Parts: sequence; C-alpha cells; structure tokens
Amino acid sequence: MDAPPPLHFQRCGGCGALLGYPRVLCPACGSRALEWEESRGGGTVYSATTVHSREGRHGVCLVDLDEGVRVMAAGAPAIGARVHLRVEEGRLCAE
Amino acid sequence: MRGVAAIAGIGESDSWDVAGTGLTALDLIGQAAVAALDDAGLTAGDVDGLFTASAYYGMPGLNVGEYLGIRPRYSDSTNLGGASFVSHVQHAAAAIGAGLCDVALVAYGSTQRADGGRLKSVAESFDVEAPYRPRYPISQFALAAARHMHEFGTTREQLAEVAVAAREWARPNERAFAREPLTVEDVLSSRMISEPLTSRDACLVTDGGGALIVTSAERAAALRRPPALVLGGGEAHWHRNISQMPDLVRTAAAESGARAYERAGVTPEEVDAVEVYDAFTICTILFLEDLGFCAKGEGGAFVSGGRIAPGGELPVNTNGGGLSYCHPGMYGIFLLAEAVRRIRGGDDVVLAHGNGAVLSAQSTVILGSAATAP
Repeated sequence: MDAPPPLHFQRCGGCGALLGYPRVLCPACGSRALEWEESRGGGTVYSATTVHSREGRHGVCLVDLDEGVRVMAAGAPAIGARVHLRVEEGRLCAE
Repeated sequence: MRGVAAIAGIGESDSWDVAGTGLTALDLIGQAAVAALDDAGLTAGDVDGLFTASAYYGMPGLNVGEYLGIRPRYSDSTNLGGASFVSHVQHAAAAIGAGLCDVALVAYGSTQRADGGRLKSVAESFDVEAPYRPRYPISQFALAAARHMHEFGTTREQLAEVAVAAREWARPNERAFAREPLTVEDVLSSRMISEPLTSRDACLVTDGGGALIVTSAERAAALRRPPALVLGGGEAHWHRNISQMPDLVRTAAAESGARAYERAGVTPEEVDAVEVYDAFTICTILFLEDLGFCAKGEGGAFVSGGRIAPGGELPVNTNGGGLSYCHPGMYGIFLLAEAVRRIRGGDDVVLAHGNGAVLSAQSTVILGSAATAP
C-alpha cells in the first residue's frame, strides 16, 4: 500500500489495535475492517541512537505514541522523555 | 528430534581474507565443503540433501548444487539471515528423520571483505524506517543496547567486556582473524558508529566459507569422527523491522531456546559451553539472558570480570566469535562448527544460537556427545 500522510495509522475495527504501517488486514486478529486515524503526535521516547558518519551526526529514535503505536523518528532525545512529533518534509522529528 | 541426527563433519575455507585472489563466494563454499566431507570421511557423491542461504545468489541451492556437482533429492534454501544455518541443521535433522535424505550438506560462503567491507545484503529497505537513515544493521542493535542500558543500568564497559572476552578466546586460536590484545578501554575509545556502539562493539568483516555434514546418528557413529548429536532445536521470529519489535530487550531467543531445551531434555545448568551469534556486543548479553544463563537484566554483570572468558565459569564463543574469529556477512554456520569442536574436545552438551537480521530470527540447536545419546 502507498505510504499514508505522516501520523496517520490504521485502527482495527475488530480488536482495536493500531497498526504500525499500512496493511490490508490486522496482524493481531485478521480483521479487514481498518479505519484511518490521525495521531496527535504526543509520545514517549522508547530508545534512541546517534549515528556518526563522514557527513556528520544524526539522531534516530523510536517513539511510543500515546495512541499505542511505536514509530521511528529523527532525533535522539533522552529515553523516557516526553516528545511531540512534528512533521518536516514528510518525516517525523522528535528534536 | 532428540538424537535422530548428528553433525559428522565440519569444514571452513582456507582463509578469511581473499582480496586479490579472485576467489568467489562459491569457491569458498567449495573449499569448506571439501574440508567437511573429508572430515566426515564422505564424498560429494554421498550428499543427497543440500541446505544453503546466501546474500549473493537469489537461488543459492541451484548455484551450490551445480558448482559442487551435487544433485540433491532434498533441497532447502531457507533464508533467515545469519540464523539460517542453525535452522538448516534442524530442518536437515527433520528431513533425515522423515527419510527424505541421508546425508545433508549445509554450506555458506561470502567475500564480503574482498568486496569492500560493506554488508552485502539482500535485505530490502523498509519504507517506514528508511527516511530516518538508521545505519543498517548497527543502529538497530544500538537501539536495543541503549534501551538495555536504560532499563537495567547496563554500562558501555560491560558491553566492552563481551568484546574483550571474545578476544581472549581468539588470541591463542591460530585460525582466528583478530588476535592482537584488546582492552575495555580500547573498545570504548574506538570509532563511535551508532551510540552506544563503537567499531569494536561490532563483528569483524571477513571473507569465508563454512560447511557442515548432517546425517543420521546411526550412520554418523560409523564415520571418521565422533558424532555431535543434534539433541534438540527451536526456531522463533516475531518481527522483521526494528520499529515492529515488541520489546527491544526481550528477543525471540526466549522462545527458540525454550523449544530447544524441551526437545533436548536438558536445562541451561547442563550446558558445558555456549556459542551465540555476537554480531554486536549487546547480542551476547541479550541471548545469555533469553537462553536462561542469567536473569533478564543481569547480562551486563554476568559477562564481566572474565566470567565468559577462558578460565571463566561459562565458556562462551570459544573460537573468538563473530567479534574476533571471523564474520563473512552471516556467521551462523561457524557457531555450529565451533560447537562441534567443543563436543569433540570433551564437552557433553553445547548450545549454539543464531540471530538473523535485526534481532529478528532466533534459532537454537543443542548438540550432545555420544554419552548423551537417548
């Protein structure tokens, strides 16, 4: 499936699960009753790393959104920090 | 599965560095296969089962079969990344038990080092993660390491202890690729790649090939070398991409290991030596926890103070592992070769555990000496 706009996720009408990326079925219960939902962008940093390369440094983190789904985002805030993800050029940023 | 099949031969390529020789991944498989067949006292004509995985060939069973002149009646090219070969041994044992083949060759080769050192991989990029440019695969393991440090207070020094212990095993091993002395300080001060992991928290980049001969326990007993019985095995995978891994400090090794222990009828306390896939230092800590050698969260302390080094209470990665012995792209087959050496050297029960992709595929095999035969 094509990528949805940032912070848009599918909610399963069968079991209520929020899907990490677009599918045609819910991996938790198999239901095909999926509805799009937009996250408010608030979440908690689950883990983070700073990548060192010749071009410089950039952060990569995993954020647990309050709605109950984990996403990768740019930035490396402290683990456990509250963040509000914003969208920049189609990417989620936790910086 | 218990004791139906055995590993009767092991082989490795002549060298871990073939730059400038023109040798291909298939050539290194050829060297290893000849060595493994000779070790077992068999010839290519005896092989009727072929198990292989590759980052070079899309249909590797066909390439390897043609190259070696093997016409298998059972063929399995399951690709679970570096865990593949630990799974192949289980699949071979099942096929042998079902009468689908008698003599299985498990084989792998790579010229990753000669090709320039970047990880040769057929791994696809994941649309949802690629825009954030994690450096595959070290950043994914770095995320697990950072989370382990956060939850349990694990330190960079404890991660470094894993690399130092591996090096202590490698130093007297003439076959090991990296044998110069290594200290915790050396690891910490090495080039940072993806925090908290440095270049010395990461496995080697070498060339190399490996091969195993698996046959029935009955046939293996009549061959040249003492058999390493396949007492049990287990597989598990729960995710492909790191953002979809439910818990970065609890891997599916907990499930593959539990299956292997149950089928083998042994407990962690009965294991004499452990060979785990140490793609990065955090792997050894996670897998020792998930396989029951210490409690969850205590891996950092468990690997420290020389406890897994030569002379320690639990021998781990006794050839030097992927961190110091060799690492030609995928390491799983070399875990098993070392586990077999341990059995031949007098150990009764040895556990080999493979990891594939980004803590994704987990595959465990428990080998036993003839004394453990059911």
